[in-house]
Amino acid sequence: MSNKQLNSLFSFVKTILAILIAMVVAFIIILVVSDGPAEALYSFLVGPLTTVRRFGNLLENTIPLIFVGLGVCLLWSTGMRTLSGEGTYYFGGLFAALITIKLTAISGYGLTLTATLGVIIVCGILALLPVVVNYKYGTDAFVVSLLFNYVMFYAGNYIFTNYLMDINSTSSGSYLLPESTFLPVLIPKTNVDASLIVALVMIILTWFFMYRTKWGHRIRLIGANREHARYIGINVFRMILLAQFLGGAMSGLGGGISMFGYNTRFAWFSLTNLGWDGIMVATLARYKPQYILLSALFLGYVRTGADIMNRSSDVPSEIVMIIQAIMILFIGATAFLSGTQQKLRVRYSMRRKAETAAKEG
Amino acid sequence: MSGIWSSILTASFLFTIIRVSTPLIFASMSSLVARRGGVTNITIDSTMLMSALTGVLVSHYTGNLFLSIVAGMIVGIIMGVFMGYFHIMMRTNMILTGVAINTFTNGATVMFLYAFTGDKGSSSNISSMAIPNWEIPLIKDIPILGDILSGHNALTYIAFVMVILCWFLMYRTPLGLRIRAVGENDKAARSVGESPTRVKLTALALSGFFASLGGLYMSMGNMTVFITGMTAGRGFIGVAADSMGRGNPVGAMLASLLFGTASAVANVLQINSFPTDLVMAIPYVVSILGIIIYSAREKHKQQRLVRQGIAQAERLAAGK
Amino acid sequence: MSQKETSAVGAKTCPAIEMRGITKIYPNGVVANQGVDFSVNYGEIHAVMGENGAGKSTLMKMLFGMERPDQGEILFEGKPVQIHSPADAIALHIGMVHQEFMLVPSLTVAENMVLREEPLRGGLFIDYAKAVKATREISEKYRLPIDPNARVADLPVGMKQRVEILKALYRGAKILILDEPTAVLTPQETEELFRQLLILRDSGHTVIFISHKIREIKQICDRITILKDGHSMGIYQVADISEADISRLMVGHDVKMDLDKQPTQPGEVVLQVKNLCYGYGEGKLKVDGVSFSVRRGEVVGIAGVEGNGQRELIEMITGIRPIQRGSVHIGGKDISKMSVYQIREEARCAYVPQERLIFGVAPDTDIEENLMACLFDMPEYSKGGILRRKPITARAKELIQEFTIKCDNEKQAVGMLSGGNIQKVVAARELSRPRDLIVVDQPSRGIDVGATKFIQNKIIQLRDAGSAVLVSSADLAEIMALSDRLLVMYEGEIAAVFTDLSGVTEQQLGEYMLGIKKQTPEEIGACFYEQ
Repeated sequence: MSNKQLNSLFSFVKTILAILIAMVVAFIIILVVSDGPAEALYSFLVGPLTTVRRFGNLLENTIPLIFVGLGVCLLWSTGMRTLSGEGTYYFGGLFAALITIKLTAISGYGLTLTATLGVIIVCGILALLPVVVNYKYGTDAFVVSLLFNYVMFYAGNYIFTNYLMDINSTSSGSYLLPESTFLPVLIPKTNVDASLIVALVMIILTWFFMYRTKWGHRIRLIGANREHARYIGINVFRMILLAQFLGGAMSGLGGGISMFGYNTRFAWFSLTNLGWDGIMVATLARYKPQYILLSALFLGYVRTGADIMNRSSDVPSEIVMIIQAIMILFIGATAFLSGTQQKLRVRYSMRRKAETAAKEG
Repeated sequence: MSGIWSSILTASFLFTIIRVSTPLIFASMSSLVARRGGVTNITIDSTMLMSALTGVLVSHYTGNLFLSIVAGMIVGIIMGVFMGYFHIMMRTNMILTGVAINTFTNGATVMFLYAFTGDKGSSSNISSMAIPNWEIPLIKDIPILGDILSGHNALTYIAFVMVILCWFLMYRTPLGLRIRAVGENDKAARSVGESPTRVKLTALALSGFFASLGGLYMSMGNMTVFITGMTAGRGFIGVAADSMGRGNPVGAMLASLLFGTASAVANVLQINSFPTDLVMAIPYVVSILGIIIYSAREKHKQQRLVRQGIAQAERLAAGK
Repeated sequence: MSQKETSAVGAKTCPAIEMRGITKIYPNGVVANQGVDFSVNYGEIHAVMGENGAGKSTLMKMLFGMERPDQGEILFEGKPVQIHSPADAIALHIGMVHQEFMLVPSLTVAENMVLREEPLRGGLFIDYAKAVKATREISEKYRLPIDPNARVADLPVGMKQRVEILKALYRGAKILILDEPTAVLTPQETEELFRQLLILRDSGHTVIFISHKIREIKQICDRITILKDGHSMGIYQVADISEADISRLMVGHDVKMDLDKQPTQPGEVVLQVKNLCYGYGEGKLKVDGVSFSVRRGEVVGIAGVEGNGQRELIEMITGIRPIQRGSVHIGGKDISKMSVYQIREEARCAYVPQERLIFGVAPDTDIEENLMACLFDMPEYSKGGILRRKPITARAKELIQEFTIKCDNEKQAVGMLSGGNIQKVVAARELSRPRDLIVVDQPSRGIDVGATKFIQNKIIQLRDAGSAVLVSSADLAEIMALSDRLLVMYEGEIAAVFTDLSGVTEQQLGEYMLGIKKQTPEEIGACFYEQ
């Protein structure tokens, strides 16, 4: 077994173990809190598959997670750890609503497309600020992106309350988006619409971009070794800008596309927290776009299961947050199992050396 | 416009600024000790939330104010150490640790609240004790100034005392020296036998302690009830204020007051159809600009040094 | 606190420190030490010598508790000890001065000195006045003057090192490890340091002196341990072993290089460097007014002790560092405004860097990506930005074969290869395309004989094919064998130029490298040609 294989085996084992530990903790909590733990467990584990409607909920929960997860894959691909996903997801939703409501010259899918393009461009550009100032002045991109999310939110909220708020409606939120812009529903009796297809296409496109184009290769090289990338002649700054643009655009797209049918009106009075969720999805997928579907589905599943359990038993759905937290802590923990890994590595190295010596001698 | 000014330029408005700034000052001190030790703590919000809940629950069940404050502090310290354990001992990425702990807290606070009160939104089913307000002798009798400075919650005064304590801690005690050393060059600390792990854990425990006071103020000082998500991002404002204050406790306090002023202005002016959102955004914009200007100046200084070095060498060469 | 009493030195027969059968394997699989035995006595200066990557630093880091051995034991005054951390080492009166200074720049000298041993006032606050006093005392006791109130960031390099030595002494060190202490020092500072070390030895301290400068070891050391490829080659009395023997044990192959190299007729000027300067913002420039040219069909070598500006010079020529003053022309084009990409592709420059694992490769990515990274713009390998996988893999396989890179397959991570094979990956990428200018920094550092030979032959081949070649190496035998013309750098300046290397000896070069001699400006001007 080569060292590379050893490493990937260990990340796989670690991921599975982390999930197991989290699940065991969840079961223990359920056993302790619940008066009917069997039913609670059943609705948590199997619930999402029992009816079409619940299955729909599962997919509805999964779709935004795919977008934000891909967004973090891109945002973090060059090693710049920014939080721009949170702000751009919010702003994507807001901007899509703004264009769709205010642009009355066009209608139908033409409007959907225009708004989506607008969202992609605007959110892509919004994600650039933290890395531009980092590059120019060496400021901490993480802290700047954290602060800038709030600027995006307050600017967005200003637009929302002043230009989009429907004061006459009973449900507080923006004016309804024109129905002609709504995406077709894929599964009847659910809200699962064509954004699912867009999300799946985005996974393939992101994977293709990262692994099959020269730009993706450059971006990954910067993430692997920035100094080497610079020495090879890669314009590091330009590539970081590209990765951030695409990451911001992806999160923004997620927020924007949710307006066309799923949300029907803009009604976010705070940041959505989905940017942070994206970090979880991407971490679970080990920052590889090809695993995003799996990890988003998994998170979507436990969330849907927890919701169902919440409704059908006495266990609050918030238990799912504890599961997520434990998983992320253990998957991210570099030191977790590293002792065992090092022992195997030493043994392997010695054996290999002995083999070469035997061959030469 | 005159209406706006008349509502701002009052003693009660200045009183409000101090009131809203209190949790921000605690949060910024919390961020400061962690960041000087090399960790950007994004779990301050969560820590405040946990301590706020603990304080309310313990005060309800024991009826002992002192005990509930101590319990809140202990929970805060535990949260700091928890962050430290995963980030430093288990070497989990700082952001991931933060995300996980924040998620955990959002879940855990609701579950505990539900378990103890049967409500997921607030603790209004149970009664909480209050940390008293203090009238300051002498000052309270001064007109206007007395209205502004006296009659605040005890924790508000403690917040300002904490700023001074924090300054002494960072610049005058061995622990502060070690925290700054570890944050700037942890290898230097290692080479003299100091364990950066221990120092960082201590810094994070202190960070949790400061945050816990902010949390207790929220649920037992400013209000006497715990509301789910009541810290509403104040922990992150603490990080922002600390960034603006560039790691100096007094600077962080002034920055917290700026954030407090903005939200007080926004609160007061909400009725006047004033663009309150834009007012709320101002401190963040100022923070970002502050960070940028500071880094730009540092970079400029570096470049100037290089230019001077070359000029000096050229003069020497000309003299040869 | 400042003057810890050391326990009476153990029985004379018993070494102060003994390390037995030490093995250390790093997480990337690199075997840094294997079965190394090492021992030092009180009152000696003990040299640890070896090439870069021979495992000197790792061995010493384990002694100081910064790394943990995977196998083996450490004995202190004959008793087995566990050194888990620097704190344990300090408790055993072991101190270390690292190559990279372990100081906190924004703190003062006194604050750095007392870190973790702070004198207190009122049991709670640091007594800064006492810290200053203690710093003064220790600096006077060992005759190492320093200003306790200076900010470390403002100190010159020699002073920073002094703070490091004082720091160790303040903590009661009896055994002092110095990791390549002279690499950053001026000759005067080096002499000063040696005087100090002799004083320390005579007062009963042990000095472990890591170096790869034979002269220095001969000058002040009593015994020497030689390491090669992570193994110990034995402990010797310095007086009993000749320089030739040391170098033979260290490098393990015949120092004489026989390269099949015919004289060529150089063509037009390709690289022209004029009055180039580089500074880090200190009073001293790292590169100080360097001018020279390299023509087609010749190899120009740069010799010199490391840290005399060679690296900065080369990084400016290849665009990695900005040019602060002076000019560089490649093929007549001014490169000061060019990006690295333009220098590589338009000025047709190839560059084999010194720091393989930092610049040369991305260790976690696979061999194929590393070999092909700069070719992805060519239409053979990408179309509309989309990579053409088959031709890429085919070419990578060809290169692996041509450069005899030993690996499982082209998808293996580069970081898992041996040093020599990593260097071959870099060479295969850089030297497989026809280029006008080829810059090679330390071609054979830390790699095996076979790979060294291979790369040296490649360099000569490319010269014969009409490239202009600039090589920098700290290995004198290598640089003399490779070069048609040779420059010697000392303190950022060109100290000597040899246009004809026949009859030049290493001793002669050494005198220029160590700043004992310097040629006249006219002689030095001989390496500059107008275009």
